[in-house]
Amino acid sequence: MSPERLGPPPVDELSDVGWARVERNLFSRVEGTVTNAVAARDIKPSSSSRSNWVWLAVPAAAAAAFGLAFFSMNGSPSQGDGERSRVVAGSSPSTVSFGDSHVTLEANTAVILDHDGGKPTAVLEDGTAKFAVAPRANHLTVLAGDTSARTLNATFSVTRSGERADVAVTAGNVEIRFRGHDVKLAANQTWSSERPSDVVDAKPETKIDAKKR
Amino acid sequence: MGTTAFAARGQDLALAQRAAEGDRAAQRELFHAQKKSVHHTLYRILGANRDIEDLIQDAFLEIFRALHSFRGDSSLTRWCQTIATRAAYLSIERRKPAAVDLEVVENEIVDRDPDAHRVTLARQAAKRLYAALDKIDPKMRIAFALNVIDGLPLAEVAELTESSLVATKTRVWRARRELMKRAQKDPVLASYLADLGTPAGDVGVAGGES
Repeated sequence: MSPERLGPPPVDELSDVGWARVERNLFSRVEGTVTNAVAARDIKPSSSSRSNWVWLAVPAAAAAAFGLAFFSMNGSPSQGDGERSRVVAGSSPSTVSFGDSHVTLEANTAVILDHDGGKPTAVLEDGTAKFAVAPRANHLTVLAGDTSARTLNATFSVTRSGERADVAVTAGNVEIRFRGHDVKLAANQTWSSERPSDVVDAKPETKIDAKKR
Repeated sequence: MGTTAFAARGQDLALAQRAAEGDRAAQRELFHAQKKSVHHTLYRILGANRDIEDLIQDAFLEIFRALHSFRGDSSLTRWCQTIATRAAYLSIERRKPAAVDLEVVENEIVDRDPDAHRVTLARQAAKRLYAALDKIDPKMRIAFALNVIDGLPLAEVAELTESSLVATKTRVWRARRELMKRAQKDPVLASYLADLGTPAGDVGVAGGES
């Protein structure tokens, strides 16, 4: 051993990618969609090396991305039972099959798709996703921050920006839950977490509550 | 408490309150403010980054869950480190002893660090030390790691481990005794223990735990 004083070894810092992974998985767990400890290895991309690359690409606004960056998908992307995938759209929209539903991601949108034993859940991390849900026995649930939107049969979009979420229904019915507020949306109605008690008709843009009065 | 410290404590309380109420932005702010200190504490106790990502998540989930009980008696950083220490303890209790792998970074360090030789030696010695720590009682391990390896004063270790000062002193003393026994057949470990020297604070008490 060298006579010089060694002292304690330095602390090896986590990489930026590692911290991004910790944050993403932590808040997925906070939002209640993942009950067990979820490391990156539990999210099942077809290529693990891509996951790090895509995560780096998102904060860089996908400046150098061409089209889409997909996890777990090649050609016609699809999601089977019991699997969990994180899907990120780069600089242009993309569509992914999620069981018998179709999800269209607008540019710069990230979503985690999880079947979780026949209870399909989509966690919208950021951006806008449009869902076309065929008639089904079990609810499909979309989580965006503290907002939960579930349906058995609808076409609707969810937009998340930070903690704000907006939902717009094109067809069918969607149930919204947000911090103790429960509202139901029908076709051509919209809702925002900024005004969680209000359901707004898309055309004309007037509040239902106001109409009743 | 000085004006600056008082203001900082007020900010801690305000942030903790917002995060406790489920404000996701506040939770993210708290995460970014405390992640480095939580990681540092976990790393010093465990000795490597293996499995540490899951453990950081566990620690922050517990932090978020317990935030309603934060009263500002200590800084938010110290409070989070206390929870991280508890998470590390539970992790050590759950897992089977395993070798600590610090070798994977050695070559990289040699290339980058101007004091590479010393750092490499320290890592090699630390690997042996943590392998030995894997075999002793988790409470003794944590007290030793925080006091001797990380250099925290005994009073702070006692606070982080939610133990009395006497119990903490005893644990550090017993840990060192256990390690010295194991070092009789390992001159590198023996030399490193001597190199780490006297821990921060007085450990000249070998009384029973309280």
